[in-house]
Amino acid sequence: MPPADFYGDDTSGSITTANGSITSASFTPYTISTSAADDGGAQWNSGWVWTGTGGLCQLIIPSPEELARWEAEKKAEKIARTAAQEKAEALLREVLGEERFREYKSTSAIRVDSPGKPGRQYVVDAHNRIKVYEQGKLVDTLCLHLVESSLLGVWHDSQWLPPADVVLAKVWLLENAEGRVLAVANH
Amino acid sequence: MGELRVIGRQGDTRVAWNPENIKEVAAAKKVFNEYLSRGFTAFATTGSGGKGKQITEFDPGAKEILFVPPMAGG
Repeated sequence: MPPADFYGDDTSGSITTANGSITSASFTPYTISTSAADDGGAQWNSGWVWTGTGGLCQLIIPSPEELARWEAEKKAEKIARTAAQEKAEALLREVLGEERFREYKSTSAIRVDSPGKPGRQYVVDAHNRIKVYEQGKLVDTLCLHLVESSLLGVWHDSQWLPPADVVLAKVWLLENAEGRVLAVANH
Repeated sequence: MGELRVIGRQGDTRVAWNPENIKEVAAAKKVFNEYLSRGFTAFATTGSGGKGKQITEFDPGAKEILFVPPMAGG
């Protein structure tokens, strides 16, 4: 039987697996399931969860206070992310100009004419490899990350930067340090 | 007035200075050198449209300096 403080709450949270990793899960009064993408699916089993991939997970049942705190944290994080993206879009607009800002808003990407090679054009968006076109034909893609190092590890751009800042930084680097970008990026 | 803008987690961070104020210039130079030592690249912007010039020393006379995070191949 699930613990008493688990009854009646339809919500989502996380479970900690036996090896210490945390995966998202949705909780209903008598079942707990994880998404297939996270864990292959999981089913309730007396305080432990057997996952679809054969792993044994120990359940961490959140108390109502913890759930309220999680909800508040999620809400605050969403507000902060939205504010950061708004600031990033304002910077992109200011630095790259109105026309290119409109291009970003309508396509989520910005085209960059190569400063060093006539006929070459890059297409930069926040989530995919940079596409390289020559005379209109796709000839290469570049994998380039903007990283932040800390004691906890190295964070890639999608983990720590607003999307508009990722685009602005890559466009800026291509226009002003194209050689370095081509040397650093994986082709 | 000069302004240093750093692309970062919460959107850009700004540090402004008056070129005639020695304390403000020193404070901005300190921030400039900190980001440079963390691997960020500094560009003095030269107007709207995406054009700038990479700089490795703080220029108190610059109107705007943009710091871009370090890059790595994926």
